Amino acid sequence: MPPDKLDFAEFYAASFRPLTHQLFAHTGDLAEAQDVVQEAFCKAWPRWSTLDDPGAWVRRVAWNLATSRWRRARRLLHLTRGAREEHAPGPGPDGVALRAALATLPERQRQAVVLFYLADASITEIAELTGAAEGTVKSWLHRGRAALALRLADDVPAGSEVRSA
Amino acid sequence: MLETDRVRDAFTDLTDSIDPFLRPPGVESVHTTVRRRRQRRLGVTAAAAVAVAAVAGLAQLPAMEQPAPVVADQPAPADTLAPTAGAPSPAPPSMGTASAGGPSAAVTRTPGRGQDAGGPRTGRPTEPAMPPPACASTVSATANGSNLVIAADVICPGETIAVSWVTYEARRDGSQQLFANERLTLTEAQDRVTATLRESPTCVGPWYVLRDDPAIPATIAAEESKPFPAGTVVASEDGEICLS
Repeated sequence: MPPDKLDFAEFYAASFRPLTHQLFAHTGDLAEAQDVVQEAFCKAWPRWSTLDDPGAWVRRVAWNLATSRWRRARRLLHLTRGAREEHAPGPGPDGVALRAALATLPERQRQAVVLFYLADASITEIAELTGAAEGTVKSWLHRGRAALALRLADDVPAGSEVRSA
Repeated sequence: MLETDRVRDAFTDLTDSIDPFLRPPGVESVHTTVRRRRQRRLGVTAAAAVAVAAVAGLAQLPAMEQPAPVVADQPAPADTLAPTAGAPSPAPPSMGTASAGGPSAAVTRTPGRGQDAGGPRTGRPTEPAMPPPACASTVSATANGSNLVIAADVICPGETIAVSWVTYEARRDGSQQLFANERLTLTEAQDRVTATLRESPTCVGPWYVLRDDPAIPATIAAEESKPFPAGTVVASEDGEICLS
């Protein structure tokens, strides 16, 4: 096996799962998350020898794919509201509440929070990835974390409205 | 702080909950997908090349009186002709209908003998019944990341083939903006060139390897699916990856 192929395999093994976690948290759709992560690896493989930071590259590509697909899916869902069948695994109570809470966050806030918690990304990295200013990212994180904490502290069941503090 | 920890715990709970359902398709699946896409692109390119060759071949047909070149390549045309030398031609008498059959083909293969032998057929064998096969150059390109190798698999004597690579930058509205291009030439002396694709650092669009100097549009509209004339695209790869 060529060395680069071995490296790619190791990289794939180490990165597929955490990336899928992030994109599932963002999209709420596990199949979609796996699809975009796999597609990102397919995009990376032909360029493998030229990628300086494959981890960052694949993450960016996966997030961009997920974002554009998610926006398309959201538009479609809007048109066919109620027709979509959800096949979601069963998280614990906090996971359920978190999914519900994440779904209420604006897209960019949700992306920032997910990257912060699941990718251990710094504010600078999130700013680079999203193309936003660091101050904006801090604001997203502050609001997003506050909203999630409020949801979880109140232990609001999924689908309920957030009570005002 | 406690609330933040709870958020973190909730994320852990969420990711733990999906782990049993995660089914990574695997590295082999990545390789297979990439291979399949390459083959599909090459197949499209090859089909285009065959189509061009077929059109070129058809264009020469009017110059041929005998549309039976395959028959003319049969191994023993002279033997077919020899016994009939001095005898009436077995071919139909009308030139206009003498388009098929071994004997007439044999005549085309050995014009001198046929002309001598068959008085009534004077003039017929002097027609260029089958033109020499046209030389059709073929070019291929392979890319490994940004490294490109463009090679002429067949190059005709004295021919110079213009090739170029072009990269586009993808735009949010779906259109593509010309990002970089380079023109190169292939000759008999240098039938292979290497190049490095320069791609947009922000929104990687498609790249193309072209031949014969087609016009390179500065912008490709989102709805445009064939930005280059048929037969000029040697290889290409789609790409719509915006990194910011």
